Amino acid sequence: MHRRRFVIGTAALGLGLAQADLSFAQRLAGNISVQLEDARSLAGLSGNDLRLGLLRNLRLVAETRGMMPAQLYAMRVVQGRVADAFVSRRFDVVPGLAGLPGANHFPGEMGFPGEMGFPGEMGFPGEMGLPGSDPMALAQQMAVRTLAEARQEQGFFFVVFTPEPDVAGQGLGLGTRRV
Amino acid sequence: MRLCIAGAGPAGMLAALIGQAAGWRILWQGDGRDSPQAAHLHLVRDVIGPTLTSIDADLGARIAAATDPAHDWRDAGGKTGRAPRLTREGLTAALAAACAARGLAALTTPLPAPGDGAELWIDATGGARALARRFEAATLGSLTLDDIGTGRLWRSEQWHDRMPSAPYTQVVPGRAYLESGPDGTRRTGLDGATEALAGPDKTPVVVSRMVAPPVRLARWKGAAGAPALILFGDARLQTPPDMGFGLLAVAQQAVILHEALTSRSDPERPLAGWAETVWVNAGMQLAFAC
Repeated sequence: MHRRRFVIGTAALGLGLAQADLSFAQRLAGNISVQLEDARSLAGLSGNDLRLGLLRNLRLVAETRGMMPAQLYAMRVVQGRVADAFVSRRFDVVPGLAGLPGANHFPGEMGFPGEMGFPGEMGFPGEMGLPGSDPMALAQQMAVRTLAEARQEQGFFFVVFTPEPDVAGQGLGLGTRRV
Repeated sequence: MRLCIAGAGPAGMLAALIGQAAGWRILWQGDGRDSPQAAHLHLVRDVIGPTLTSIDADLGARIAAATDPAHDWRDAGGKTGRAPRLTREGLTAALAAACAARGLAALTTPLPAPGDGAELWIDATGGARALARRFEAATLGSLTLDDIGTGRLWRSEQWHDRMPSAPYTQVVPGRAYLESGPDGTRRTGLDGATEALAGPDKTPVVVSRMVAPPVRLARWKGAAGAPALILFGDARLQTPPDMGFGLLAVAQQAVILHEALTSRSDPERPLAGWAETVWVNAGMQLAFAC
């Protein structure tokens, strides 16, 4: 069985909807998703404990042709707005499953205020998007939409983009509660 | 002419009814269990009855009989109304009764091996695509899944009244009628854009979350000399549950299958054309929704 992924290009939005045409959809060359390995183990954590727990439990699943440079975008969202935005230095991702490259590629303690606690069951896949010309802006939009769609007033959002224009990033949303 | 069908849900029953009416000898295997999709909230659009009536008047009458013509609903804000309501269970029961009335019973034994003489095979096993995978394992062809978008989060809600296991009802007045799977199953709520209404004395409570499938189109390419395999229902095309299109999609495919089998033509081409169009349009819908 083969899987192929497509995204609808914005150029298609102005076209009529009646006729099927594969050119409406852009074939993806790859996809990197951020996943949470064991959400329950993070239940009740907040502040730096939550940060360390995420460092241990976040996983990158890369469906790419080979090794390529990438950057982690991390957002903290409060009441529908991005309160903190972080972008890591570049690191290499390889096809398959991998952990985060290290603490220096992850937001510091300041990004994890102590009053934001993780209930344990509020991890969910976020949107998938192509990086485009401004991946930071896109990551912020995805973060706000993902949390809003999940009806979370506050939380975190993580997504990894590569410089490759046809490699998509699928984010991870994390709802938090005030503790 | 033998037609082998796998799938216990609405798509499998429809394929069996259509095939038999077109003169095929039916070998239909359902394992007695509905697909996992049955445990999701379903939107049973009011056009489904007339659509199926156009190919089978008896079935249409059974669906009409299964429809509550005056269902009372009330939303969380206290708004009330009355509208016809057809549940997924009602639709499934009407299909099962139509099958039974025509002597169509699911096999209690496995289907014959692929290549064992049946002229046509229909995979109506939903997202499992069990028959296609069996064919693929026997190197009789290859399956390709084309996804637009990815799995997304959808709100899951359950409406309770005094009893936690009370039946769940969600109604869009005048147009469409939504119903759950059996009590206690996980239910996928439609998003806030749909005016989702609870039944009388019920209060919405968020109980769980799930990830909906992307818009997924399955393409089957048979190997040279392999028996013809048709993907039918969700096995051919899946759309996110908030689009409320799954059961209507089955009805639309049923019309195409009916026309092809009664005219002795190959159903693959018109079904593939229909699916491509819906796939792209549903993908556009996702893009607009972002």
